[in-house]
Amino acid sequence: MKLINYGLIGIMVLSAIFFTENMTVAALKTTQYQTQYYQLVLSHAAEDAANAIKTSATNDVNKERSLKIEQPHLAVEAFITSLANSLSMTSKGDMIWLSNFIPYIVMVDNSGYYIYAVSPGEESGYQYQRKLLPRIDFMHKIDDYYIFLDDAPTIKIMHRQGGQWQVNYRSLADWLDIIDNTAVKDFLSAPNYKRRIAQLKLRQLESDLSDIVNLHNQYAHERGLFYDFAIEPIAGKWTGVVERPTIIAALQGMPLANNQVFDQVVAHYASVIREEKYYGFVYNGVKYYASLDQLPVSLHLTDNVFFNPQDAAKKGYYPYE
Amino acid sequence: MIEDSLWLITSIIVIIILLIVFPVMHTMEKQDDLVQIQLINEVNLFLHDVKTKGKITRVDYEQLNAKLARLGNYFEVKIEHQKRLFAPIYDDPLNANTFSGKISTVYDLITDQEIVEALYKTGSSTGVYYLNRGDFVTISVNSTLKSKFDRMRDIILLTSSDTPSFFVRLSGMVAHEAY
Repeated sequence: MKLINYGLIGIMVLSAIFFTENMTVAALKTTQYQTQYYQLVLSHAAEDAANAIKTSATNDVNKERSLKIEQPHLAVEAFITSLANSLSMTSKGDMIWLSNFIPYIVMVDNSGYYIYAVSPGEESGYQYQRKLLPRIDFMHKIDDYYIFLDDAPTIKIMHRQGGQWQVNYRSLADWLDIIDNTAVKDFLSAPNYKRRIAQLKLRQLESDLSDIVNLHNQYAHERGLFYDFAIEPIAGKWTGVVERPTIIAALQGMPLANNQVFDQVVAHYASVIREEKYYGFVYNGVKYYASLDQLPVSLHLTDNVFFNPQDAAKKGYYPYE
Repeated sequence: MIEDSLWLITSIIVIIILLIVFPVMHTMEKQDDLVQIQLINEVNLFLHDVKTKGKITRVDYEQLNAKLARLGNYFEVKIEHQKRLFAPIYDDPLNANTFSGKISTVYDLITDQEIVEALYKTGSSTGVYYLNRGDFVTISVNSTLKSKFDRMRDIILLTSSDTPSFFVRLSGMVAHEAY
């Protein structure tokens, strides 16, 4: 029987080890599950915000298009509402608690960006005021010249002349003809100009986001939340975010099981939908519909506006060619 | 002699626990993990579908329920619709001349019961519930029965909890009106 006794004692010891290990695995599993769930919720929120982004397009003579974000607050609202709904945090108190974990929401377009974050030096009651900061343009400074970094072929440059700031829009070729500053000329005429401005945009964005995260961490410490979080360098990796309208948002310090926290940065392209309108008009006694660029110049626009050719045809209008 | 018998009985119990109970529990736990993953996938797919189409059809709703039923538990599906409405802001609501020129966005909550009623409305052959772009839809699913693993764990640890064995809640904004 002694063998059984020793065997049982051995099994008890092994069972204790097994239980301890099993508890660790269970905690890790919960953490992993929560992480995947937050990732899913965050991706839905980013997608919703991206869908809420409205853009306006500026066409130039070369038919190249620079897209600009309009009404950025809609994207912020969509992001927070989606996140709060998924996490069952729809009361005002819950929303404030949740916002502690969102250091920033950024909406980037071809020429600049909007940041929704804690505003420095402003407090509203016990909370720092989170707000949509004024639009920031991508720009690069050389001597007294501020070159606005945009994808449009018409380049905006602000420079100091005769003690006053002047803003001019010109094509690249025109700027190269008239500008006398060698450094600016070299910058504009560099063969890798397009790639260079993409890198400069990313660097500017990264620098601003870094400042915002630092401010948020400082704010969080004052509120009793102790975590440090820094976004990984985005320059060179996320070139896509400055190529078309995009939303970037972060969730940091969300508590998980096992004393872990969830930190994640998410980016989602905005879906750019071209909303074409069709105008109904009467020409030689026949009802026609046409888009704005096909419309005969001599005709005045009518009140018959359609959002697709099917609707126009249903009202008896023929396509105008 | 009695001591030896006690050791023998104890060893048999321990062997049963180690050779039968733990492996079965481990398998059930794995099964629960897979059910939870599948549950999230199904709800996520359904949400994507609603967000993309802007509508919930009776067929889609029944398919979701059928897929969940195959997971081996009873699930309660709740769909909430937050309908986006725009309200004009008047300085004095009783005076039409005091329109501030601004509007506010409000969300009208439509409950699961109303949505299901719309899907199964008598005389409705289509059974479609429509949503608009910008509306929010939230889908929560929870199991009504405890999983086998939870029941077994409760027996062994002599505990009891009301937390559902499986739960998922996802929300999203309607992106398109494909109807």
